[in-house]
Amino acid sequence: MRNMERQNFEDSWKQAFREAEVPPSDNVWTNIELDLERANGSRLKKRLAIFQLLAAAAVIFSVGLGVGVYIMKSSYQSSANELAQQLAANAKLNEQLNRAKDQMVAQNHRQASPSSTTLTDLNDRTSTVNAETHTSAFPSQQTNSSRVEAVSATGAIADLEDSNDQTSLSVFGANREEVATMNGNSLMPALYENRPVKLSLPVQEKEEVDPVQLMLAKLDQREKEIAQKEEEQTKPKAKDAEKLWTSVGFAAGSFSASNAGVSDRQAPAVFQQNRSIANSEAKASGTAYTIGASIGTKLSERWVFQGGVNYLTQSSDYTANSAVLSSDAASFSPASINELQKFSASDVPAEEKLVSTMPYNVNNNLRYLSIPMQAGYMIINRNFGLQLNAGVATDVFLQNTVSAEGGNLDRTKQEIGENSPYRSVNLSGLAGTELSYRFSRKYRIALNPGLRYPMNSIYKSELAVKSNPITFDIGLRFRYIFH
Amino acid sequence: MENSRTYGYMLQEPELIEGCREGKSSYQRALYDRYCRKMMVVCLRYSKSTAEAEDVLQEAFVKVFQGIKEFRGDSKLETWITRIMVNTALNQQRKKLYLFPMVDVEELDLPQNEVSISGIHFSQLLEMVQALPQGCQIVFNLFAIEGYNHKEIAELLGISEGTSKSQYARARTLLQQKLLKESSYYAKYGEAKF
Repeated sequence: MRNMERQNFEDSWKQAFREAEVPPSDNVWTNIELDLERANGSRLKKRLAIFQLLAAAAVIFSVGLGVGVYIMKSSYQSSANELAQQLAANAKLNEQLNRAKDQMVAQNHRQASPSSTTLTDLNDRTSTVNAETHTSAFPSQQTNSSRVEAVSATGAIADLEDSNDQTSLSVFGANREEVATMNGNSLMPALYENRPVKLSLPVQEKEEVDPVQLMLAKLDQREKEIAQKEEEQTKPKAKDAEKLWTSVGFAAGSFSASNAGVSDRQAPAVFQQNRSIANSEAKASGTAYTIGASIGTKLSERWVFQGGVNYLTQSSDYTANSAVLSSDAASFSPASINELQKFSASDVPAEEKLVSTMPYNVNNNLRYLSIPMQAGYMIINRNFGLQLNAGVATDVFLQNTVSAEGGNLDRTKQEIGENSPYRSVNLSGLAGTELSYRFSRKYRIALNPGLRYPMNSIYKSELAVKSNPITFDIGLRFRYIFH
Repeated sequence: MENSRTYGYMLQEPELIEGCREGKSSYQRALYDRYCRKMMVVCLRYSKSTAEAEDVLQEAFVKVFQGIKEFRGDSKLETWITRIMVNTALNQQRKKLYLFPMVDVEELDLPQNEVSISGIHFSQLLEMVQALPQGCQIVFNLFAIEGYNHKEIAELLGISEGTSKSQYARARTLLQQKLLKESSYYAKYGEAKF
């Protein structure tokens, strides 16, 4: 009963889940696809590794084969030389044998009757004295050894035995005494027809496509394809390329003109007499702000050109201990190079207008319109970019404002023109880097640390006040990329 | 058309298997579409959360596509896939079981009356199974739903047969208790609370 209940319990659960369905989230399939692609990628890599190993093995095999052929060729050459030497030795032996034969014949003549037959005759006439001549073995191409015995009419016997290893010729007199014996390694060529020796090198097989070379070529081609593919992937697509862009941005930094001052000899008298006023203003350091827009284009793969318009302000503070009485003697304004310039241009002596005061803080605010033009070299040109920039900026002086802290003194404002002590147009050298990040197809944000250095003093040359403030600032720019 | 989900349902099983063997993405998608819902339930039964179940489902389907070349057709494709799901889920659970090994548990008192599960929506049953302690959940699934016997479960999980039995008994009691609670709720409010 209990088992029955248990069975029912399990069956009911099984039944409950049999047709149950719950849809998984869409991400699951995406992840499966990614996993499968990753697995395929690693399989391809493994396959490539195998091919690389095969290629290495093929190269080793080819080299081995080449070395083998070379060694075989060399040994074949030496065998041929040995054979040639052996043939020469054989020829020498044959000559010796012929001489021995001649000696034997002569001896035979001496020992036998005049009617005796020479060995030469014997050889010639072997076939005619068949009854007295017997051949124990017939030389043939199939046999390895042979024996020929010839009996002359006088009873002299010539016994020629030839085997592959040894050839001997024995001549016996009529009483079976040994007259002469000659041994040689190979007498055969002299007594029988010389065996032709043919030397030949292995015939080269027809040129067939070497499978190893074929495989290497295929691998090479595949590697090129992969490299090309990778290059295409890494290269920004044409539609995403940054060819032309515009940007807006601002920069903040500081400037310093520690080497500034009034030139001793060339400066007008009023400047020389009030050197401290001019020096403190010219040497003042402060803050610089820039706001502007620019446009840039790509000149080549790595080189870019950028230009634009910036509004630049440079604000510096210095301490003054004198003030200038206004022309209507109603108010005072801070002592500044502006005022000294006015004194030098007028007939009024500075001493009449300059009043010594307690030290007070003066702020000098300069405004320029700057037109920078820079060439840039892109060290990294990806989503993350690193660029080196250098160029020049044409700085057009707009105005300067001199104001005293506290507001008790009048504010002096001087715009571009003859009355201004500042150079109307100046050139500044620019150098900097650009660290950027492309956060979408059309936008890039950039951080620009940079230096600005005026090529000439910011003051007019006739004033002989030298000041080339070097500015270091960091800019933030938003770039819009045109497509 | 090839990529549409409807097309996947129109395919015959052998055709689907062949396409997957050739590594065709559309066929893989079709096979996934056909079985993912059912298999999700299998994974949920062995998991504690949907995210965990989806992880198992993902891993198991990758194994299915990679191993379909070895599928000989001895069993139904669904059975084969289910087996892969269960094995993958068990592998995942084994990691946890390594840290907290399954042990013999004390048998609880079974409720007097056997409570039927008929009328209870499977999602609620699923919740009950998921709420079981780890060991009980696995053994219950393997024994009651997959149909393995205790000896096989013991071999599968590397535990003793007694442990498997005691874990199952505990699972059954816990489920009965929950079912009893649910049924009393129905009796009181007259309809399911989900």
